[in-house]
Amino acid sequence: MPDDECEVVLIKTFANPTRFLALIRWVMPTASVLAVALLAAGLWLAFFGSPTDYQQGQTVRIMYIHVPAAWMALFVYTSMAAAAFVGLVWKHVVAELYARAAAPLGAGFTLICLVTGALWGQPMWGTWWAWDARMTSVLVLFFLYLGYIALSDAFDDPQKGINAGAVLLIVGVINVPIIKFSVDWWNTLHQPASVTRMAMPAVDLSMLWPLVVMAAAFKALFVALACLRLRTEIQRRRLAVRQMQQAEHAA
Amino acid sequence: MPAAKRLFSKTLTLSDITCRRGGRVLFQNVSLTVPPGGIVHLTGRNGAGKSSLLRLIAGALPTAAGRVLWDGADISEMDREDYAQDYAFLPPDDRDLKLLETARENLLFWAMLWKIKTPDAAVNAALADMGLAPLADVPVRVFSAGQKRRLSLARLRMKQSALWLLDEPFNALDSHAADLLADALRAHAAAGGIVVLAAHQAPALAGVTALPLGAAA
Amino acid sequence: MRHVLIPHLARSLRLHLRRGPEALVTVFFFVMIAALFALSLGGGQDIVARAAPGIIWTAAALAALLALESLYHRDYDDGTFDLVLMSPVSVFAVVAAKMLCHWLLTGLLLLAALLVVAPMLFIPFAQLGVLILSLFCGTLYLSLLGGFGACLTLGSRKPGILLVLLILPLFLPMLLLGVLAVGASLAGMAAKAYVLLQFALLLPALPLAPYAASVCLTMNVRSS
Repeated sequence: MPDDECEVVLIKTFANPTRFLALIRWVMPTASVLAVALLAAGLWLAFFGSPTDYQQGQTVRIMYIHVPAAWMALFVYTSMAAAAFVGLVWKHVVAELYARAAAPLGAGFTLICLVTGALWGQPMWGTWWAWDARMTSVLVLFFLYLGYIALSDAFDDPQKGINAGAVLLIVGVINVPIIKFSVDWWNTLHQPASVTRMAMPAVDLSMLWPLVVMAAAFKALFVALACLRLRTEIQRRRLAVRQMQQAEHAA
Repeated sequence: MPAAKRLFSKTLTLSDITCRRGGRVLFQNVSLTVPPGGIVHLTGRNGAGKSSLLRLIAGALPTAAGRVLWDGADISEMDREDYAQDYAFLPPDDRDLKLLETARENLLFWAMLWKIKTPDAAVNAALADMGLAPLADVPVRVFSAGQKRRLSLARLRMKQSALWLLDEPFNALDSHAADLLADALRAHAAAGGIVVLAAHQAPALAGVTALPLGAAA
Repeated sequence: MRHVLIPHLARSLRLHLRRGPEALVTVFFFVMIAALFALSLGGGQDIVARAAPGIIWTAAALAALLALESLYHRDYDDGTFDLVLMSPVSVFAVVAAKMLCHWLLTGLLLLAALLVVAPMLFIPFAQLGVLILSLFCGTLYLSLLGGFGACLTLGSRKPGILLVLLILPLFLPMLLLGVLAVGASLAGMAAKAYVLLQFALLLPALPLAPYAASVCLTMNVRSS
């Protein structure tokens, strides 16, 4: 697909990101404040404001970090795939850069989920790891994140990295439900019933609140950090365009 | 010599083309209209953009500005396969020839891919035209650089396209082979075809238009 | 389509055979990995036979991914793909032909190698039928997915290892289903449901993988 005229390329590069940078200027501090507040509230509720489980005792509290982290891991990956699609088809600059900005954050949430899963599993089963359905799915999701980061960084031409990464995300997101289904099924057939799921206790209203608040807190945290990273990516690209212009005028 | 039959009649137009690679502008505002039978010789230093312009005309490289028109139509709006039927490209080196295959096998691969009618006959004719008939069943591994070049040229002629885009076609050719090539270019132009070639020396032909490239041009 | 398939088949077979020993590397690798697994598990029939489905699938996956570089990245490096894009030929057809060639040169040979590997892993010949059917589906899927991964990584640094890292997570569902199928068959239970699911996974991949791969090939081969 041939580039449009020089001017249009520059307009496309500058106009949208400028609007976004203005948006970021007020979204980021708002989200940061929200994140801190919600995290404080959520953690308080998790540790003090909710009952212990009669089976698992205090360790069930790890669930309040583990489960929202899992939700975030999936949510971020899906959002990356959606943005990648928009960026690939409509060549929207900010959409293209979103995946690169969000990838390390999504991978971070996945890692948090895996680590808290291990911390939760240890007192329950005496092992730091169990190949149960959720942990396996999250591990595979972690590999998908790492794969994306590796691929988008593997090209000398950054645009090729963005495009290839976008295709990988679209194919990956289609595969995520397939992977989840096959892992779930494989798990119920292979694992003894006691290890089938990270036994989530029957969710009581008092347990729902901390979960919801923590989920909201993670979302706000993600938005704040994503704004930060997106701003960096946009400015990096602006710098590249400016350098290109300088080279043209000098020639 | 009987007048050559006019096989081709399309015109190539370069309209205000700017080419940018790796952030650098190679050349700007290049315009040229080439009628059927025209031969264009791209000149300029190494790195001036001769290879890039050839790829740009083939549609393999996007223009930073300007358009390439084939028979009046913008090539970026044409169906890729339709346009690919009309041009034949010669890369600057012959790396893509499979060394473990013979000359005939190398050409047959492309003859079949390009849906050439009677591929065997076409391959034999192309090899004979470039003086490679005795080497037809010899693996390319033992070919000299000049022979590999002639093989690539044989493949190009086999395609029978109107527009020839040649990157350093005379490289590694001895004087006899160079004469063969010059004859082929002359014949192609006489039939109404267009040749655009990048070469360090001007080909020994009449009626060649020079197109100098370089940011200063 | 035939005008794309025949030259690619002819060329792939020719080059593969003429490269001599390299042609058998895939099979050798498969057998060696299976042997390595069996030996490191102690060689005892009970453990090895239980691990057999997993060993075969893992070894097959790794062996099949080996051949991708010579089929795809070599053509990228020497400029063949550039010429293909400059030919009046559908890229979808070219990629589909390459995927088929890859399967003929790896998957098919691996299926034949099962005759050697099955006894090594104490799989009774009676169960070989299900194993072959399941692996047929799996290796075909791997050729499709591998071709996509190869086109995705054309022109990247270290494409060989990157390709393996990207494809294995996507291959996991087929691998799990295949292991379930073979495991069920070895335990004397019906494997039909699992094999059907495998084919259900394969069928949409047949048109989608070449399409995605052709998009990637066009993207990556086009000069910037």
